[in-house]
Amino acid sequence: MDKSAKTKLASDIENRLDDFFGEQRPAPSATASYSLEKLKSAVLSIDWEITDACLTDLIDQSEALLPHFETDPITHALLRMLRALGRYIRKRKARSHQDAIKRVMSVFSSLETLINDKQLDEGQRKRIVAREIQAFKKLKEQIENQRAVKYAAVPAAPHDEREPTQNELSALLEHQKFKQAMQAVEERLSAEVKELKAKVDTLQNELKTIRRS
Amino acid sequence: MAVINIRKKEVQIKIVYVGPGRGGKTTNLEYLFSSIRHRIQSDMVSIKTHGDRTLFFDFLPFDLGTIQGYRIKTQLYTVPGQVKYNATRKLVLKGVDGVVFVADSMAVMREKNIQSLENLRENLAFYDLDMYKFPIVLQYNKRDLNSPDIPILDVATLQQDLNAKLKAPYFEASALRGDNVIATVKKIISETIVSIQEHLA
Ligand SMILES: Nc1nc2c(ncn2[C@@H]2O[C@H](COP(=O)(O)OP(=O)(O)OP(=O)(O)O)[C@@H](O)[C@H]2O)c(=O)[nH]1
Ligand SMILES: [Mg+2]
Repeated sequence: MDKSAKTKLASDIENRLDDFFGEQRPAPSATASYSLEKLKSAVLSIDWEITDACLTDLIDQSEALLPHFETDPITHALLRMLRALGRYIRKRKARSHQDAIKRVMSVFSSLETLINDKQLDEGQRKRIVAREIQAFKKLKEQIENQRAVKYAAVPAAPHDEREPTQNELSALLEHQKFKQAMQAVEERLSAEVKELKAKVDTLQNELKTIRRS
Repeated sequence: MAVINIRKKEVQIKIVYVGPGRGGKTTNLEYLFSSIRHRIQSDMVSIKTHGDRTLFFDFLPFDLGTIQGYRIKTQLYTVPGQVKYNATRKLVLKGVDGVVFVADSMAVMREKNIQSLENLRENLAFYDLDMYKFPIVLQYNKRDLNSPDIPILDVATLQQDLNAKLKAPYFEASALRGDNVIATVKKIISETIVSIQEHLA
């Protein structure tokens, strides 16, 4: 490969990597001023790359806006949801629920609509926030259920008084871990089967209506 | 060697994170996964014992997109760092295209780092690969530790111990905070692709 082809390759690789991983931004400064623009860029950064810095920015910016909407409970609720989601994702990182980021995007987009669209009447505003609250509650429930499953699988304390030996403990742990893993796999499979069954049902129904007509 | 499918215009590259036990390999992958998970289809797979030690490996595959008409599929692996798992390490290193060596900056880990790098050299040699001519990036991890109770090695010492002969690119990092985690992976991916390209030419 000649030299210019080499340089070209190197810069193509670099561009692709920058696009994929995102440019690394410096951590945000502590002085947060009050504007939706800052919150927006925090949200966009998260869509791009989920880092502690972006999430902290999201939390800070939501918080900074809160006092401005003390008298507007609808907007206030959305900001609090954003802050809660930011805190949750920052804490759980890779282990956070797969829909959490989607929620952030959705709540922010509703927030933007509420603030920017002056044509909305009170009923429309309420419907928007009600939808977000419902989705938020659903996510919360799912997260709590995930945890409930894990705790449910933790071994019960031994009946006799003596402390289990190291060997017994590790055997128990290994066994429980394996059981948990199996349970997770089983749950996932049965969810998939359920979904497939539902699809088959709708297809069969469609077929019936086609036959009838 | 990378799996290259000329007809489908697809290249699959395998990058393995190695280094002493508890050095932060899994933490690197976890951070990467949390940064890109919303943009990739795949999941990260971890096989751990209790206490979070890697038992077999961690695996994070993703589609990087297209470079010069070739779709680049990347697979990141970690190996278990504990000395006793060498058979597993060897196995995971099979077909490796690039290596990130995650060194632990804690002063107490000085010997472990050196031994682990030597172990890598042997394992690569097992596959007829010469570590000194192989795409490798060093990461001096846990730079965030600066309490007086936990002394850390200075970079000059780490360089002297690990990189005097290798002369590989290196980063000071904190996998826990995410500092330079992405810079490390970007560097190894680009070193690896360039090396594959050179082998083809
Ligand atoms: N302070 C600090 N701790 C870290 C850093 N990176 C990892 N750790 C911690 O070090 C411990 C071990 O990290 P792992 O990522 O599991 O290490 P590993 O290299 O995968 O270990 P093995 O799987 O046993 O080979 C964990 O408690 C991490 O939280 C870092 O940059 N700074
Ligand atoms: Mg590990």
